[in-house]
Amino acid sequence: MAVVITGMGCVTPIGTGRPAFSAALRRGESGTRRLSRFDPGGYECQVAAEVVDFRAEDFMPLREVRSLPRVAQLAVAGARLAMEDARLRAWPDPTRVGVLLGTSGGSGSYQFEQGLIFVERGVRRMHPSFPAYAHNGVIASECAIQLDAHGPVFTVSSACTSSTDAIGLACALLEAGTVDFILAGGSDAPLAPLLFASFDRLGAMARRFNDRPEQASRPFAADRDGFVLGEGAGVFVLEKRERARERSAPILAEIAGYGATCDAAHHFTQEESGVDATRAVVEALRQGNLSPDDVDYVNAHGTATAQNDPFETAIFHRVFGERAPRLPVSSTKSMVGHLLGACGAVELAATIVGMHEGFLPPTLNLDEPDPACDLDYVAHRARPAQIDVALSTSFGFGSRNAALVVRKPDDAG
Amino acid sequence: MPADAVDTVVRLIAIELEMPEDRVRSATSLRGELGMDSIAAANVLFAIEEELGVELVLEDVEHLDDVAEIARVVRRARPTTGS
Repeated sequence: MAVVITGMGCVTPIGTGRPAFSAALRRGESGTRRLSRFDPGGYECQVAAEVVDFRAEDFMPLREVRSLPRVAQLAVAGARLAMEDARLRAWPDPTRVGVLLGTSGGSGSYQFEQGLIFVERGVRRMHPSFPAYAHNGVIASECAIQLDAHGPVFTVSSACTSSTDAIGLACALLEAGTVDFILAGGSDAPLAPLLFASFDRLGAMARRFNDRPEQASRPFAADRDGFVLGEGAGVFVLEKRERARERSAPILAEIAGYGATCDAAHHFTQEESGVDATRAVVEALRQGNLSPDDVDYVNAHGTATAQNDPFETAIFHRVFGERAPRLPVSSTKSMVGHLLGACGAVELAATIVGMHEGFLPPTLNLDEPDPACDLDYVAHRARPAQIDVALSTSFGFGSRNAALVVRKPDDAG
Repeated sequence: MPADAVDTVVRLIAIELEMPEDRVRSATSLRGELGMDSIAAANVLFAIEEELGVELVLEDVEHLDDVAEIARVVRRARPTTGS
């Protein structure tokens, strides 16, 4: 591919903006705390990864601060930060700019809040903007409205592969010549009672570490017991390599390839053989004319669920063969939590920060690995490393699999 | 009710319509002169309730068209239940 990333905007539980996010990754900070957005007393899991340093008024007009759903506010903030990072004050031609964002929970939290108002206080108390805000497309259209993007503007919703898919599809739009720039990534803000309760009911979230929140997200560990739900956004400015060079833009990474497949088997988990999941990774490498031996680092989906971690480890054994035990693989969900549809974008951001600055983001809380998880997971602390090629994987409900491969640009500073 | 109801109403309308407070203060018709539509009006009324901790009877205020009238209703409003 000839698509490059020239800017990134992160709004995450461990920091907002590239410098803060990068510093927290390097320090190995946990963004998990006792849930404060609402009373978690009635739930088995009582911790979450909340974005705590976000001030919507820093990124948008005050009228939007009051009324816009949080998931869209996080997206707008991420997109604005990405534009600043790409040194773009305005688009050269706004008609050639697209927005393609992923979300899973989307406007679900907003719908729940308004649903409560409807039931408890009646129809006249409902927000009259509800129809415009209650669909998942609002996260992309709001970015377009506030950042003057007049090209194709849409939202992808494919569970936890949403933002990985959005970035992959954005590359296709660029390569087809449909747009010159595209804001691609994802946003999710699921920390509202109904969505939180649904994952609690599913038994998918960590529940044994309520008294030690920062230890609750434990990917690949023998004593892991589920993911920590989080919120945040990751948005990138994508453009063709030639255009970025013409305008002397800082190139953070090249997107080498994208693969997406579906097991077409289960609602919640991947199919045990991992055939289709492996195919997604192989396809992403193939698009970049890369072999598994070229990969220096893997940012895994690494949810810390019983199902995901051994499954994903087996995929990496299959793809990387004898080299697998020596290949660094980490899960930054140990720091930022599981951002659902935004996870792929934020994890790609972590991967690119590591590539750009020369370190491997760690997997926190990996005191004792699950015997079925036998790779080098960069436990506890970040590690200096040269990363030229990296893989980021995402898996989602509906047995979806997605992979992105990124490469360090030739002229990276 | 706070004495600065007019100031609050003016400020919240100015935020919603993205225009200077002076223009809102001098307007004789919010709808006709400033183009405030029903969605903007609802946003302003909900913002007033939230900021001033009052509960408005929406039927009493939705048709109002100038700042002084809205402020008069706001001054008479009862505090939010439970606050």
